[in-house]
Amino acid sequence: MAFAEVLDQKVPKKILCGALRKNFLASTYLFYGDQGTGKWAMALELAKAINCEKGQREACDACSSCLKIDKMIHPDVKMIFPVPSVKSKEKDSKEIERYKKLKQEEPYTIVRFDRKVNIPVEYIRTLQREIHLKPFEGKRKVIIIAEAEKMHNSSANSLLKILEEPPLDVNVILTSNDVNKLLPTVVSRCQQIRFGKIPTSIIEEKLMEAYHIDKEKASYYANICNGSYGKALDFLRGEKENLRRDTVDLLGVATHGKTSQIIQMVNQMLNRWDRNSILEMFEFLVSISRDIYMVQEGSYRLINSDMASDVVKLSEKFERQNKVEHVFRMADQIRFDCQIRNASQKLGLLSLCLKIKELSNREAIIP
Amino acid sequence: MKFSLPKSKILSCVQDVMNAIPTRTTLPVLSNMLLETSNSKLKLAATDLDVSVMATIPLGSTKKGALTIPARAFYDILRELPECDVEIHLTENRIELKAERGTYKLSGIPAEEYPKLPIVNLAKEIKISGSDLGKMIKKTIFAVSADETRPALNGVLWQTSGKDMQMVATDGHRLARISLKNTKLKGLHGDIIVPPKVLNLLIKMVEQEDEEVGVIFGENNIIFNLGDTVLASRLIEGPYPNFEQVIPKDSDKKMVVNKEFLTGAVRRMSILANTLTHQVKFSLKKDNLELSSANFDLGGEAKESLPCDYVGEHLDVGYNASYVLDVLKQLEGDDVVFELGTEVSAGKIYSMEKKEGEDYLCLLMPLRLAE
Repeated sequence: MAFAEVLDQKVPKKILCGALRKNFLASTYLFYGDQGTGKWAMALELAKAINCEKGQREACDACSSCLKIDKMIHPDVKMIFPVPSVKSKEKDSKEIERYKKLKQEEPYTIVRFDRKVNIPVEYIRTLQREIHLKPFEGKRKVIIIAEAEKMHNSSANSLLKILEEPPLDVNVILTSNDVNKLLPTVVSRCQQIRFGKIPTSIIEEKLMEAYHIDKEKASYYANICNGSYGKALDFLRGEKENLRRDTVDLLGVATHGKTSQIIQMVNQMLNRWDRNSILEMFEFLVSISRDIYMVQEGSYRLINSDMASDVVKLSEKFERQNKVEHVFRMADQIRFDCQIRNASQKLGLLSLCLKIKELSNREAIIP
Repeated sequence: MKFSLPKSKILSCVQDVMNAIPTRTTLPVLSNMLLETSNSKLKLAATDLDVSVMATIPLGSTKKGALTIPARAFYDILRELPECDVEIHLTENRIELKAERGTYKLSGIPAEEYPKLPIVNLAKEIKISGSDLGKMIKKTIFAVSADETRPALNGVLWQTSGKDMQMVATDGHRLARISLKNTKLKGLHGDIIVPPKVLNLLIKMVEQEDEEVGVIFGENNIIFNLGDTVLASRLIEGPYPNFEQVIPKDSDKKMVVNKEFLTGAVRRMSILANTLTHQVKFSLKKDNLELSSANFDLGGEAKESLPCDYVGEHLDVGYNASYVLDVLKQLEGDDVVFELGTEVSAGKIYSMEKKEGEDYLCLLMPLRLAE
């Protein structure tokens, strides 16, 4: 029951259960870690445990408070989500409904938008008034702000006001996929809990149980998702296949094609995919280069097992292992630069591909 | 379950309850109205999570049941109906209205999804005269702050201490405090901060002067029982700032002036006062109060002299005209007293007439006068 429904995350569970047991909850928590690792699920469970009518340390999942939180209609549990930056109240509420629905069906779902999103400052301002009212029906008020890094500076500064002097009966939970994008002044006022990657075996089991797929398939999704159950679900729903296919094609061109072809291909990719997908493309590049390395080592335990023939073909191009190791490192570094240091994705992808072309050339010398 | 009621009866209740339906909300169920039947009563309720309004109508015996239905549509249908008996049929997720020749169906949301409304615990109820309550609210509510950065000031502080009730409101520029003797408090002690919304609604609903209102002080909410209608509101989290500290104790200058003369004069001054500050200058000399204001945008100036009762040094002090008028409107009697210290200290304003068991005081912070 309750916390058991959150996959793995032993350390966060231990911290939170301990705090609940000793009645020593922090006023603000920041759950951070990769997408789809269970931050939202944990935030919900915590809100339920705090307000559960049975008064135990875990949610009973049966009382009206727990049920209302599950349905996201509890008057004292306020949830804030990012919305596309369109100035229309009606559209906002539609987007919020969509977000709620997706998260309600499966808390691990990674919600995607077709345009830029943010958490409007008005949402935080209304909070400011509401938190100073006593709870409506629950024991304490809980505020969950999902994807807190989507706050603009004005929203974050407005939130600071709340975090500086929270009323005694409020718990704030922020979840963030990218803690580096949060204002340091916000981060420093939270108790931070890191959500690590979920072990492959646990994801595999859960996929088999929840979606009734066979072990082979489950194991494939569990390996490819890089410890994120949310991403595993993306793969399961077939949402990532095209992107992966394109990544392998790009690698093919980079190793075999002419420079002009590479430039053309990179431009195509950038037109076809949005920023987040390009970041994921770098992740695929990392995982494929890891597979190439494995093939060269004579092992066939591949992450991208469905693309084994492509991987073998590519591996022939990098005849010395440390060449592919170089690609691996570089892809990872460029992903980091694009995500954290705001490097240009176009330059990153192009320079990576040109480097791959150079390295796949037999005469290439590793610097 | 099924029941039938005259349209006017149900409409008047629905009208009361509509007061609590929010215009825009993130919880869709809040734009619905809760209908509940039990113990041969029909309960209608709505809440915007600040204020809840519940109304009951006695019924012949019916089965137990509950449903929430879209409030706006329900209200509009009832309003447009001619005067007749309305037959209401509630099923698990639908409501059906039958009136004369028409039937109207609406689908609802299960009552379990509706926020839990406060429970009216009659054992803890205290009866307070409606006119007393209305007076206290009217005399303080104008001073409630709208500044959301200081949440405790966004409500009226209601203190009970054994035999006295006191209400205080302030926004940092002005303060109003009224205390009344009340023997029915049963030795209750406590401080609560009540949002103005419910108090405004209460004044509107307590029409008859001699009606008694049942008040229940809860930990998180306050409930006003008006018989058929019950109002409830969440409280604001304290603590309330220490207001006693700002009430000056060493004001040595005292001016008594006719309220009506002063009100008229300040009104006229405010026409030509600075549109931002509304500043009116009070010049006090022996038995003479001179009011003046100036608006440089209009190139206007105004001056007026009033006879008053004042002994002391000459004093010039500036006030916001609209704040002065707010206070004068609430004071009773013919003459008002200004107790002043210096040109920067708060002025105490009260009525010359004292009423038995009642103490009403307003404080006004002066505006700094330009040299």
